Amino acid sequence: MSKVKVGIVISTIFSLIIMSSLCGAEVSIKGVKLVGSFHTSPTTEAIKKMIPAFEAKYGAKVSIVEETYATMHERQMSEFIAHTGAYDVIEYPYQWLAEYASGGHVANLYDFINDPEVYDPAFDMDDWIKPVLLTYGDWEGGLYAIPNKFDIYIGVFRKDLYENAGINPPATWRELRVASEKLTSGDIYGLAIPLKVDDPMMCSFHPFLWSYGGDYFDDNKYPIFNTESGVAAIKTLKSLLPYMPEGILNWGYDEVQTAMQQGKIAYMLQWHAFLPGLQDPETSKVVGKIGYDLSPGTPLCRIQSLGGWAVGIAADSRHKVAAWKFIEFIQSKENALKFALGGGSSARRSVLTNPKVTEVQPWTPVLLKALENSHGRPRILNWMEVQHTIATGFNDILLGKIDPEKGLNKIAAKVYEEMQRVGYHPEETGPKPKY
Amino acid sequence: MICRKEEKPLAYLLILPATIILGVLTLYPFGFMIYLSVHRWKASLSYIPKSFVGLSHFVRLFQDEFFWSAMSVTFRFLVFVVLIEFFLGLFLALILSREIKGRNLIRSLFLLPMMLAPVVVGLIWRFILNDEVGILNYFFSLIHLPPQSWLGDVNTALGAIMLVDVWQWTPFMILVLLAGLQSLPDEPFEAAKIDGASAWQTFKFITIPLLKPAILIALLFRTIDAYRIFDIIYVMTYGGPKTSTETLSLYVYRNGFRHYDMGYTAALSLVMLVIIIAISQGYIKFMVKE
Repeated sequence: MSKVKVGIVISTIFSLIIMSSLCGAEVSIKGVKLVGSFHTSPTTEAIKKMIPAFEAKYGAKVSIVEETYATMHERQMSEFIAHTGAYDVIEYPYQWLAEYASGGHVANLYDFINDPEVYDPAFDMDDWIKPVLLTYGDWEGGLYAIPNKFDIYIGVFRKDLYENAGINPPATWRELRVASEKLTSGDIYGLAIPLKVDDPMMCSFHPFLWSYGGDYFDDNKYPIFNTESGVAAIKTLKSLLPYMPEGILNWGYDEVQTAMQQGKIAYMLQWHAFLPGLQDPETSKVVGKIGYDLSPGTPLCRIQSLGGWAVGIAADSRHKVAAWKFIEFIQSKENALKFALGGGSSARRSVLTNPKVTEVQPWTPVLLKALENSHGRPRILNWMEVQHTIATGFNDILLGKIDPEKGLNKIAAKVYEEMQRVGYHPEETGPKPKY
Repeated sequence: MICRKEEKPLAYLLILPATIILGVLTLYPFGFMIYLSVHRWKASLSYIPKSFVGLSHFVRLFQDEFFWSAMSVTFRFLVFVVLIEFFLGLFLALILSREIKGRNLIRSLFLLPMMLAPVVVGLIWRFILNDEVGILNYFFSLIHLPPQSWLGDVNTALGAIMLVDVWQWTPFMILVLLAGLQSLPDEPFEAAKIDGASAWQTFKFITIPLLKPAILIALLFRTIDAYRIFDIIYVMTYGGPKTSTETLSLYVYRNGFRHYDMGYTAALSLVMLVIIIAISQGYIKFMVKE
């Protein structure tokens, strides 16, 4: 072999080694056993189906511990506080991000994204819809999660009923009230909004509050939902109750979904991740009769509520690199597309704009439009506690036990104390609200 | 027994292991609970240091609507279930104390619910009371009644939990009262019969007074148990809807393991402990007096 040929062979081998290390293919996680804490949901079912392919590719093992929403926070947090390192990959709703990231319970993903030996450029961070990525994962400049299940609260209506009555899909709360009044008759209710205390009540209230120009807190975390906008929002929500089923204050997302599937309601506010259930003839009586629109608003604006689940890495994990490779795998462009074609929901732009996905999920254009003007839940250290206080207070207002102005001030006073207890300084804005 | 002087060190040595175990398992947690109750400690946010807050948790507690709501739920639950279980248990114990056919089999069947773990009981009843697929609503539909959201409605959820508790723990009442009935002497009953006392008079003036110790024991145990109910509610409603089934135990749990507000949780636990000690003392004094 001539010297030139030997030189070519050696330089090729070196180039391959350098290139492969840059592509991150050199990372070996063979033999690692990962444990993931995931929410019991169709998304997790889809992820579980991806595990054999991940295990075959990397030689690592993955087991998933499923939790319901009600128990997930306490299970994850108990492990974090005890520093057991029981979980490597964790799924969590982004409203817990402030507590998880501030408390040092989750790892900063930039440590892996910025490491060329670990990060696979094919993961393409630029493909994520930026506002969603930042809402789900950004905390004080770090990135603590990647979107796992993207969700927007939208308006879902019975096209047939609206068309027969000659009504356009409502753009404002007022139009929704008029339409609901007209369509409430016999066994059909004009409207159903999940109003069960805690998460459903709060998520339903967000678009009301925001569309009236209100918000929950100012920069000092002083409660401001008891201002004029908040009062208008809760009064508007209350004015819609007569067109909703009895007991709606005990209905969560599932109950509202079931009522829509059974053809008992004309309009609902719902997370778009629930919508595939309306297209399944085995569970739904309204297949082909459903239309999708933004949540209504005021003539001022229609602001959409962003929900969803994110996936990150536990700070105590002993296999962080392997955990990142797993996240990279389940949320790769290829798997995200497969997942969406199977009815799942992804916040990747390449997936949401894919015509094949739009064919399977006809509400996709509404989501893209919704993203132009959407807000996320407040990301505060004690959202679980504050949410319960606010939602319980709202329940009293909607039941008529207390008038809206006084009720909101009473809730605000409680929340003021709760914010102080975790180290916020609402007193820098003003004194405790009086009621 | 009085120890001789030279035996004293041995006596101390013998009780030392038990004292150490008791100290580690009981006194240390109890002392730590008291320490925490006067400190602010948010366990989920470890960067906030523990700080001494004096009695402020106790002041907060008395102004806390959720605490009073939990107190109300706990006592409504306690009074209803203990009374219903007592009267039902007494009635069934009186029947089972007679010579009836298949008595042993019936007794064994009655004891079955008590043998099940509360979590299992909660799950079984959650299915029975499910508004979509529950068998109770199925029976409702057979008689053309609308389905009810037993566990999802603030008006029915606590009642549903009470029903489950009565189902599971009435056998305990039966067991204790039946044992009490069978240990009663025959003579007073024979004397009453000779004196021409009616069945009601015998029951009122002989059975009940003689049964009092067993009744008090049964009531004391069930009161303590009902006061600290947790698992069935955790499985069935998690304290909801709203706070309609949130008892003190659930509220303590919510503050401890959902909000990780450990100082306040310790203060709540301490108050809970004081209440149950007061109730138990009341029962015990009554028993001693009787």
